[in-house]
Amino acid sequence: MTGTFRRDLHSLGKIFDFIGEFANANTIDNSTSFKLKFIIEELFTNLVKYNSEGEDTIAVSLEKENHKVILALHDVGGVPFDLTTAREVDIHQPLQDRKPGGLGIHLVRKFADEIRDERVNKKRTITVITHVEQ
Amino acid sequence: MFAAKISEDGVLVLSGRFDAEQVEKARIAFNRIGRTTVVDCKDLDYVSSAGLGVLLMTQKRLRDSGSELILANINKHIKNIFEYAGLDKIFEIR
Repeated sequence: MTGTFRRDLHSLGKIFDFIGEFANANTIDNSTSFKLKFIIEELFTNLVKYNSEGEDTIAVSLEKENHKVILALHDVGGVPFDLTTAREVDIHQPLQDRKPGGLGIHLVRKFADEIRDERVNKKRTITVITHVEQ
Repeated sequence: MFAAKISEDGVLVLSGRFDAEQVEKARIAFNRIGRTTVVDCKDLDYVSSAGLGVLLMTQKRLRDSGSELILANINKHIKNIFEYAGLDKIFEIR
């Protein structure tokens, strides 16, 4: 299933509802549902914050295939960037050296079995494959 | 719906979904804290990295004055997030 959402943090409520509908329709457990919400929020908010020049809307698609969920965010326009090259954060730093930036992508990597970030002309597709927990 | 309220006994009670849209609302509540405070997460369903950022920056500010946030009653999903982010070493989790 695919939903299209305005490039705005206020879209998050609708995105969470969309994930909830997908989870119900595919009998997805709570742990997987939490993971999907986390991954999609992180990727969506990154596009809102760092690609404000992109088109007004971002499409999100979700598909269940056997014991995996394939999620994708489809963005058009804006600044070229490859998520998979983002710097890894050091989660072992003491509190005084810790900064909040980068934690989101670190956690997406922890949850994902596979991440692809592809750009063809102005169309960017971020695909994450993650396994169903139960 | 997200809410952050300080109870009569000084506990910060969080509920709902602490996502990027809620950060400004959350900051108002966390910026009022000036001493060691228990954060009750019994009714907190979800937290994203934006929420973790608010918690982390508050912890930094409080530790500078010898105080801290103590997290209580976090669900297993949020506990996983804290462990994956290495924040279980930075916060006391009860």
